[in-house]
Amino acid sequence: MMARLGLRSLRGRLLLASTVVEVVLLSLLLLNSVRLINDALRASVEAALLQTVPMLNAIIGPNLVQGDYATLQDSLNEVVGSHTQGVVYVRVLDEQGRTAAQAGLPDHKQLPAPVTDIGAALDQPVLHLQRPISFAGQTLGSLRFGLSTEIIASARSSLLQQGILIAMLEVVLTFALLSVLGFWLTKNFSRLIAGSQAIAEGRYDQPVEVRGDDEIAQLGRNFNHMAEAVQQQMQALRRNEMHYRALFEQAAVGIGHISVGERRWIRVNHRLLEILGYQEKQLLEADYQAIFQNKDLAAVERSRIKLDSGERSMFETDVQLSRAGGELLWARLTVSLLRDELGHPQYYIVVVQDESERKRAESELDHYHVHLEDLVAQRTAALAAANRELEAFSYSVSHDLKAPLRSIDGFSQILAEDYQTVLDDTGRDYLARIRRSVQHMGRLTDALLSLAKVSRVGFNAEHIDFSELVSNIAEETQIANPGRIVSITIQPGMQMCADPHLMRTALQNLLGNAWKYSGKVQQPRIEVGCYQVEGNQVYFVRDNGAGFDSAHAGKLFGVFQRLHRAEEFEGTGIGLATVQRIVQRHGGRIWAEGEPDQGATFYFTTQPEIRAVAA
Amino acid sequence: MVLLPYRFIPLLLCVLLGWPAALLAQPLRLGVAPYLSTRSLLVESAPLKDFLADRLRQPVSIGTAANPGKFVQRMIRGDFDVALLPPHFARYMQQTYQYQPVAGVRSDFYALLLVPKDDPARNVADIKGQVLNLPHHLSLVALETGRWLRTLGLDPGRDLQQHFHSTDNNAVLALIGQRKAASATSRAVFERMPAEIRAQLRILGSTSSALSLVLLASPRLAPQKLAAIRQAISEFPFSEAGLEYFQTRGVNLVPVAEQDLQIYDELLPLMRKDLREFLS
Repeated sequence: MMARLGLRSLRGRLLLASTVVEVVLLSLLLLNSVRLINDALRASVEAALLQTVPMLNAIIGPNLVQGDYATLQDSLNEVVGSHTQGVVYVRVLDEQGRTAAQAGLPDHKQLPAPVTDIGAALDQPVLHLQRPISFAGQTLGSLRFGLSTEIIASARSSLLQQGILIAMLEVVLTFALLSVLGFWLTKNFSRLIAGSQAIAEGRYDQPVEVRGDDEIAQLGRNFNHMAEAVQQQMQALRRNEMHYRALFEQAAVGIGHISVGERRWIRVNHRLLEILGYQEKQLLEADYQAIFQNKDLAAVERSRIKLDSGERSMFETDVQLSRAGGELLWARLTVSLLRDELGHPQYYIVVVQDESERKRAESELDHYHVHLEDLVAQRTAALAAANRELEAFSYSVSHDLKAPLRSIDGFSQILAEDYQTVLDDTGRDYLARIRRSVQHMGRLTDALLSLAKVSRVGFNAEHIDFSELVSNIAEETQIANPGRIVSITIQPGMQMCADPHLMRTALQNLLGNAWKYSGKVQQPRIEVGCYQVEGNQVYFVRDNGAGFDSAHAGKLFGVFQRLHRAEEFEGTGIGLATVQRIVQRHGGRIWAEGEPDQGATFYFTTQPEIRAVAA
Repeated sequence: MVLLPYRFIPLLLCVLLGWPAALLAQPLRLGVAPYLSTRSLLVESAPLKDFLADRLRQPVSIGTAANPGKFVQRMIRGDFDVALLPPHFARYMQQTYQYQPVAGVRSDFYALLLVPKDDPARNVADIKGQVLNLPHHLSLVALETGRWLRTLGLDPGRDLQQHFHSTDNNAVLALIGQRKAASATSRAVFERMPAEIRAQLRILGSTSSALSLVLLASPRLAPQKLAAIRQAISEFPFSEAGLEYFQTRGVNLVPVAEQDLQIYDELLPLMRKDLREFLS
């Protein structure tokens, strides 16, 4: 029915709703008009009564007092006959309630009860009223009279009829106007509906035809934007689907989906078929448990149940799977459960990695690992032996060279003292050079011997008072060089766990260097202290001497490596190598910072374990 | 045992329930002769009416008539239990219909002789030969004015041109816009006339004290009721309403003696002749 009347469309419903609203409003307006008319008519009747009753009193009063009933009757006949004020009958009752005169009524006619609410009685053709006869302040009796409502009823009927006619005309005009207006306003909806139909059918390339700039045109434009966005998203979805399908199909690992209910393979990729040696149809029809060994199946099922309950989001395990031909292969199985947005399980995602090669590689690696350790032990032993031989050789060379050097030095001294006059100046100069070189070579030999000893002597760590050790060495150095005044600052309370003999040798070198390289400054200063860095104790020896170029700091600790010429500062180039060797024997490390003519600072640490043992 | 008829049962119930006597009693019908307009008569008589109703514990209704003849006619017809009327009519009703005088009202000066304000007349003798406007020839004003003029040497029938009017008002209004004329009216009527009318007139003289009204009781009235009425009337001047009534009107309540009414006996034939049309 609704469809046949065209009321299913928005246009029809708008039209119906507007018409209903208008009818209701007009009805209310009409009812209110009737109410106002009744109020006005009642007011009119009451106004008429305010005129009529005094007039009747003025007519009736004197005649009633005078007992002139004939005149009274004539007056009443005149009032009724002339239809003055719409009076249709009058009956005058004296104080005893007797009828004194009446007009417009048959004799002794029983009068209807007088009305008390004029408004409620306006529908009656005659208003039956009763008022006292009051004249000159005296109540002379009562007056019953009928007031015709014919004019009132006629006026009200006319007003009502005209009101209804106007209302009906307005409804018809509104209906027609709204029909035209509705068509004009909703014509763009048709195009919008066609556009939405095209989108619903997947034809995103047919935009809605937009005309004008009203809300519906704006809606059409938004619709087109939405269609474009949907089209782009659909294309993106397709690309993603292709991408993921390619990932699925071309993955280097085997991937399969297993249904939650029947637990059968839903889809599998090519790699999984390769790994398992199945045809696709064959695998999809097989029970998923067919690929597992009995020994693994229970564990897999337990993990799967945990996936179902949400206790785990995925599990990973190495299992042996049965290929189609019956042979076994090692595989890494990763299983997760895909759930929808409401958390309902959709299917299991099974990723199978062929672990056969890895298992073989692990086996070989284990084999090589065992052999490698043996090899390293052999090589280490060989290296240690070589080092010991080298150190022994170095020590032997140094030790054996000392005897001929002492001989050369001794005889060259005799030659210089006993044959001084025999030699000319050139000969004496050559001899002096020989002696200096021999002495230098002797110091080098001592130094090498000392360096060799560092590696050869035994290592015996103990707790030492580092501040006191530094203080003793500083005092010895000062005594050995009485001609110089150097300010030495030693941080008190420094403790250390180290071999005391080796640490003394290291400190002699470091303090000796500081003393030597600060020899050319006006106010030489040496500072020895320590600080904590990340739990490690760092000791340092700082001077304000010649310093060095940081670019060459790597050469500092090499044997025979020197950053200053021998004419500036004498030395063997072995001292810092010795210090480094000692620090390394303590498991620590040494490094230096410096700037030319700005002094140098040497830092070193000892092995933490050594400190722990000491504690 | 005699059963009461059903129609007496409501009456019996009323008696047993002690309805006030005033509700059951018929009203006392007080007639007032039409010496003023009907409205003025009702206003004038209201204090007496209310006083009587209070003392007699009986409602009182006031009636009058369009003219003295019709008033006499109503009295004859028995429309009134007591009636207030001029003394010559009272004498007529007493003599002819056995009405009994109860009390009288005496005015200090009853009738006024009026002339236009700018009239040259300065005393009563100056109006000799002029028109004299009078109310009904049987009105007390006409009678008293004639009696008074005669004492001054003027015979109205001979020395004046008497014009009789239907009412006191008409007699006065006839003077407006006239010269060399006079009118006689009662003091009560003159005082109730509009101020602009009175401003055009001048009082040339007035009658002396006279019995202006007599209260008659109907011969059909029961003796007890008549006694009660007499008692009430005698108390009226001493009541608050009565004091105001008499003081503002310049009148007194007086007993009526036989000789007070006998002086009007000479008018009875004339009155009987004039009232003939109302007596049928």
